[in-house]
Amino acid sequence: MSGISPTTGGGTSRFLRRRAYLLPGLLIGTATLGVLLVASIMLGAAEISPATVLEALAEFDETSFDHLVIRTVRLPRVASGVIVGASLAVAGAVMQGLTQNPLASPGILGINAGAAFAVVLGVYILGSPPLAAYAILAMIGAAAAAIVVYGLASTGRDGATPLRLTLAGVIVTTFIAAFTTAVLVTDQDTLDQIRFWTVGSLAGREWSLLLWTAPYMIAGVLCSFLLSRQITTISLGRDVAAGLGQNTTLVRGLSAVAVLFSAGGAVALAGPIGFVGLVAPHMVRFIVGTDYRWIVPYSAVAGALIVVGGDAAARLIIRPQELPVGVMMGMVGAPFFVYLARRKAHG
Amino acid sequence: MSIILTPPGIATVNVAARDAQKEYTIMMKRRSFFLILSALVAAGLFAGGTAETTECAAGERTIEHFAGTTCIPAEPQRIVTTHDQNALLPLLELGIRPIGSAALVLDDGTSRFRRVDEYDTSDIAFVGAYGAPSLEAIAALGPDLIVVQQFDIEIYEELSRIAPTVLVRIFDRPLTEALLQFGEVTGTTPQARASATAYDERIDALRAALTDSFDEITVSVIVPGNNPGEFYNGALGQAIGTVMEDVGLNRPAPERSADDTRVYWTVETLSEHDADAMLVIDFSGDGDADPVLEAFVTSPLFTSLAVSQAGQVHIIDGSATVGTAWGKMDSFLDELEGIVLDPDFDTAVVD
Repeated sequence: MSGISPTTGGGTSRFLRRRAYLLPGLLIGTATLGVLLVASIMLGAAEISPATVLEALAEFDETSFDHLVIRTVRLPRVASGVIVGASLAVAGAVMQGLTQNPLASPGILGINAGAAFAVVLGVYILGSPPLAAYAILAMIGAAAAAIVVYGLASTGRDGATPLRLTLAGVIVTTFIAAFTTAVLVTDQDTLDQIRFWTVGSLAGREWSLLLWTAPYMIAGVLCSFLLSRQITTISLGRDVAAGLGQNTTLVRGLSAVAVLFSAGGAVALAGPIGFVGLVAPHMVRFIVGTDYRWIVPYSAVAGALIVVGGDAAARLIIRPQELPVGVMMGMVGAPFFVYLARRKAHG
Repeated sequence: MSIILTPPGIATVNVAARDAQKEYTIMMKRRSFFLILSALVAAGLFAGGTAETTECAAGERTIEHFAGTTCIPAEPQRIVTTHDQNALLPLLELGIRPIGSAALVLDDGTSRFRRVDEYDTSDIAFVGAYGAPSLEAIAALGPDLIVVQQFDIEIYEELSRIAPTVLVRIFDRPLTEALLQFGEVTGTTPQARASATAYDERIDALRAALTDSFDEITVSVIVPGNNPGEFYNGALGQAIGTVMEDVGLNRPAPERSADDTRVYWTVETLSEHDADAMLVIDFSGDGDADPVLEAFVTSPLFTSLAVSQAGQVHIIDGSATVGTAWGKMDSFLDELEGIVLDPDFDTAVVD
């Protein structure tokens, strides 16, 4: 291990002491997620009894409409919600640690917008790209947006301060939105497929696309878990991390790749669902403090809870119609963003 | 021509579907404007004292329409329309040749008058995209009458300054009423009434032919939505909705709304639409394959429906059956008759 965590030595004992309640807390969170998953599979526009749901899971009858609803609509949707929520939240947590910016998240810093635009451009140029191409396109777009945002924020004497990063993210997101609109108005065929990537939704996600995007998200999240100790160190400041002998360039590079995999895969599957990456890490910090060894796994669970819960609400609010979960996240996340920004402004 | 569904070999296309979706989006956005502006226009007309006692010059006649009462030429010669399938088409069907019309603007910048393929439109000038026609292009043609559909009420006053403008309401009433009004506007009421009579006779004949089985038949008419996992009522208003209403066949419960507002349902509720016959409207007409429709009708949920299992799902060409014309209603009646009068039609697919 190249980096030395500030929590080694006395920190390790604190870590172990905190683990006395943090580990059960994580397990409780995971169990809660499990309950929510079951509830989410049971709830929907079609009224299906819990017994039928269990039957569909245990003894699938492919001639039963209700079983097919469970297997082909709700299960892939819930599975997508879990992995997308976890990925976006972990990406947000890593970004906040790396940039020491509480407002950092894939949505705020233009990563989601870049990924979504790349997918849209791919659809525009290729018509119907193969499923395997979606995640790759999204990651290329996410990387391009990240580079531009960071480059833009780094100009000038102060470097990439949190405020400059946030502003650069807003600028790049707006800039990309203009191009997305340009594609939208010039190609009627793409327009209809674009709608999905302009709001973010779990509706109609099929196993096939999930299977093509999940490996990237899983890799990104696992990589983030492995880097969480180093990210904790970096979150204390680059000077501190360098002083502790950490190869910050390598850690930052690997973390950036983890973010691109997580957020890119999530956007390729569900479109740009905003604010999850911002809200989830902040929520878990209230419980776990500043140690990314806990923030990352807690964020994964919290992100999954938020997206699966939000999607369940989005399905039930105007039943039998549905809202895209991206819209729900906007309703909840935007006020939270304002709260954070104000808190930051007041020091 | 309907096609008995044999997935996955379904030839479909999607340009017109996009048109329909786009048009519907525009419609919904404008609905609120439309109500407000119609009130304002009506208020303006009443304030000017022109609505109740319109006196027209020689060679003119009055027309009462959705935006008020207007003096128009007794025999208009230079008509411009601001919509293709909802204004140009009904006039062509009545034997009237407008000199210009708005149209769909295609991706490559060219334009196309939709749903009028059976008519020669080569000498009809293009006056801009429907929804946003060019006032300059319309004025340049020097029309003596402008015929618009209800969603162009936003530009009604501007158009009225160019030439007398009549606004025909298409939605939220039977299409037959709108078609008769197009006849009144263009002085071709006898032709319109003849078409109406022929249509009524067809409806009566179909109902008579179904006397014995009428109560046993349930027909669903749906359209896949643009986004995966959703669909909507395919018989809201216009040609298909008017025919379905006039024939009076049973519809699945969710499709029985009298409201023209489109509601998107999730595929989870697809089984509520199971019926003896299911008509899936394909709004493509011509163009590329529509992956949404194909994915919809080949999904496990769709193919598990009793109507799918019975082989009584029919893909209906929307370009032939949707549009403001007696001919479109005739085409849909052809389809419907072919299905429900087929001796092999199973009326016991659902109870």
